[in-house]
Amino acid sequence: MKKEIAVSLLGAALTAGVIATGSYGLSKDNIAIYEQAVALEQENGNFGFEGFAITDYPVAFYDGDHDYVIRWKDNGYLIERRRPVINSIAATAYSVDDHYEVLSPTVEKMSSFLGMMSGGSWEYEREDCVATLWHEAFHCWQLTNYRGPIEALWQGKAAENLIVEHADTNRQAVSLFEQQAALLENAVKTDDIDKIREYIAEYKRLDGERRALLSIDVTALEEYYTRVEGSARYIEASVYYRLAPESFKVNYIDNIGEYGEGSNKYYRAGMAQCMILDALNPQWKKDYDFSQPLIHLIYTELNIPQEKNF
Amino acid sequence: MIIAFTSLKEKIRRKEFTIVSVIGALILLTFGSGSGSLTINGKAVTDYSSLAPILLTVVNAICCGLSVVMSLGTIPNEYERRTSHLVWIRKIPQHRYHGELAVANILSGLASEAILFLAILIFMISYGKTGELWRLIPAYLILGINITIVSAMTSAFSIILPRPVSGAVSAAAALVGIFHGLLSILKDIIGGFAGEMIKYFLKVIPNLHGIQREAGNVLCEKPIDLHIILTGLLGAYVFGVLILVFKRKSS
Amino acid sequence: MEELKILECNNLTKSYHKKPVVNHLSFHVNRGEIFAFIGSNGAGKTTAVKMILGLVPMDSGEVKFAENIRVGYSPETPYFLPFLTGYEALDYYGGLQKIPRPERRREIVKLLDTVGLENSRTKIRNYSKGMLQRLALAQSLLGSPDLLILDEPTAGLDAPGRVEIMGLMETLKKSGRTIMINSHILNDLERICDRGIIIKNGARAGTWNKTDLGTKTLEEVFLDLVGGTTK
Repeated sequence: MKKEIAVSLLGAALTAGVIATGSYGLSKDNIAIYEQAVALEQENGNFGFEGFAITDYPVAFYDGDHDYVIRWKDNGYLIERRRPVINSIAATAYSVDDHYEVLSPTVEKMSSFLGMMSGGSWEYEREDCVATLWHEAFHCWQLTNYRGPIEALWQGKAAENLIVEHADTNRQAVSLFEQQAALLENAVKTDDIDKIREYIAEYKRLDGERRALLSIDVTALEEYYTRVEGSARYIEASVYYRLAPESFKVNYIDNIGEYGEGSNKYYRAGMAQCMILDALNPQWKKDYDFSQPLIHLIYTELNIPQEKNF
Repeated sequence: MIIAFTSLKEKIRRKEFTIVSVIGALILLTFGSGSGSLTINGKAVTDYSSLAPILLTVVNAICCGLSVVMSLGTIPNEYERRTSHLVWIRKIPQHRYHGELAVANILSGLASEAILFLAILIFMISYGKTGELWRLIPAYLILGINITIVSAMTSAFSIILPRPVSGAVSAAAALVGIFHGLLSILKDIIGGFAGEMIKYFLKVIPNLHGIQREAGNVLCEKPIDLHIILTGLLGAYVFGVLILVFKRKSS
Repeated sequence: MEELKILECNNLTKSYHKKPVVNHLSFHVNRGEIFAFIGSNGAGKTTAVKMILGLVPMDSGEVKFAENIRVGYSPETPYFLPFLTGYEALDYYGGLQKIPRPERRREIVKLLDTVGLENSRTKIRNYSKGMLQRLALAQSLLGSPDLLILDEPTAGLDAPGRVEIMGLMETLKKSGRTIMINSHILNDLERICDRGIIIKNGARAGTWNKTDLGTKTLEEVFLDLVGGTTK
């Protein structure tokens, strides 16, 4: 009898320990990430984009079983649990009912996922998560206010394949893009307007050559990524700069000139173009409506003539 | 515990587990010494904080596999050979008999783990971590929870299921446990019905990967998650209770 | 139960796949005697023994032991952990019986000598059938049991070995032990047993008593009851 009691007590103690040490609901880390993202809005406003506010869009953290939706309300926030709208790991802007929401995996989920994919070499830090929330919130704002111009460029689900199978397999186009990317990186890294003009002029020449090699569908898609994703990456970089300035350059500036298959290179190019515009005209964002390419704004600022048809 | 220690003596004298453990240790040494090459995403992995968790993954997999193999036949063999008869007539209750045989299974698994940890010891010394060698003890104990779970689970299944079935079920459960983290990610990537099915399996099967990760955290001076360790111990407890509860008809 | 009886079995019944293997078997064993359990191969003797010891569940029936007696058992086909030595095996079983270690060691050395086994490093897996039988007998004697139940104790032994073991049975009887022997070797049983029962097809075919044999041999009595010829 004593043994049975001892075994039962051991089981009860272990069960109590498991319950006591478990985490329920959204973890403090994720709440802290949301709070930090909101605090940045209070410190930096809308980063120059008129009407953009991260607090306008609910943020849903997915932990594998549920979505924890945080809504900003009356200088505070409410957290609500619901069934996941996308039952998978994705950081994205998503249409839920009549509005857009930021969907993000919890920081624990994302760390685990990226750690596993990279064999432990890539650690997902808090500032990555905050920056990602801003990136996706910016997409929510784009889709809410500028859906027309954005949809005009979007090719649908076949997009990534189009880039990989056409843009990335054309060796000459690849070589030209590499040169263009290097020029953008140089332009970002300098304060000298004359040098920027020189780099952009050369960029324009190479761009004309490269576009001639690719179909209209591909160039439109490239433009989509550069304009829509590039500007979101710009926001992401702006946030990251404020949170982790010591690693900002390595993560966002020094890799502008890198080539890689797929769409990521256009994100970097678009971000670079936003940064160049900041140096030329800090007010460029105020009225920007995504109806024209960022590079065209740069040409205008530098008085570089453009082709009429894009 | 005379049944447990006698069974353990028997297992040690059967040389299979010693041979396999030594082979496993040699494999580990190859990884740890740098003469074996390991690359992830095209980059050679040579630093301690990257290699240590990988070595533990290999140790975990080998030990869990050994635990299934060494535990699978212990209890059924007693019945098939009728060595159990000379125990029953001495009024040893079935639950004590099964329990002590399971303890022998666990102890032999822990002995294999100790052999493999020698390889990690050599690895740590080769990386100049002599001041951190004490971490091997808590890491060994934490990873020992996995061996205990797999041995206890296999022992429990071997009481009530035919040998091929208990082997298959135990091996499958151990694999799911070892790849718990990866399957959790897969569940999130694929979603849908398949994702839901994986989710339910993951809720039932102990997170062997999580416990192995905590052992790695100890070696790499990172904080440990007590919840995962306690959950593992609870899993071992549940299988331990099943060993005591499951009955087998004597032939 | 009467004080004279050390074991009483009533209506033991067991069937496998609806075929009766032990069929309403009843008998008793008195203190201090060597009792024979006789039958041909397949008569149900071993199954009955296992039912008495609780190793096989019975379909119906009753087994009564005298109070506070210790029972020792030597199986028909002895199985031991193959990588132990004989000494270690006896130490194991003695430990299960909670015999204190110093006493156990002394007893094991004596028992190995008694059954004619060397105390060597030879592993059981290298034992001959005769050696296994001797070891089985030795483990049955651990703890000085009051009642010994021996299932074919001389199987696998050569003639001198059988004589030796039968001599040991008589010695044990003289020391006050009760022995129940299950065997089909009638010559051995006739020499040392006091009485017994004869089983056919799981049922009691008859009884015999040494003092009542007269001019008949046990073999002739057996054949009369079970059938068959001596030639």
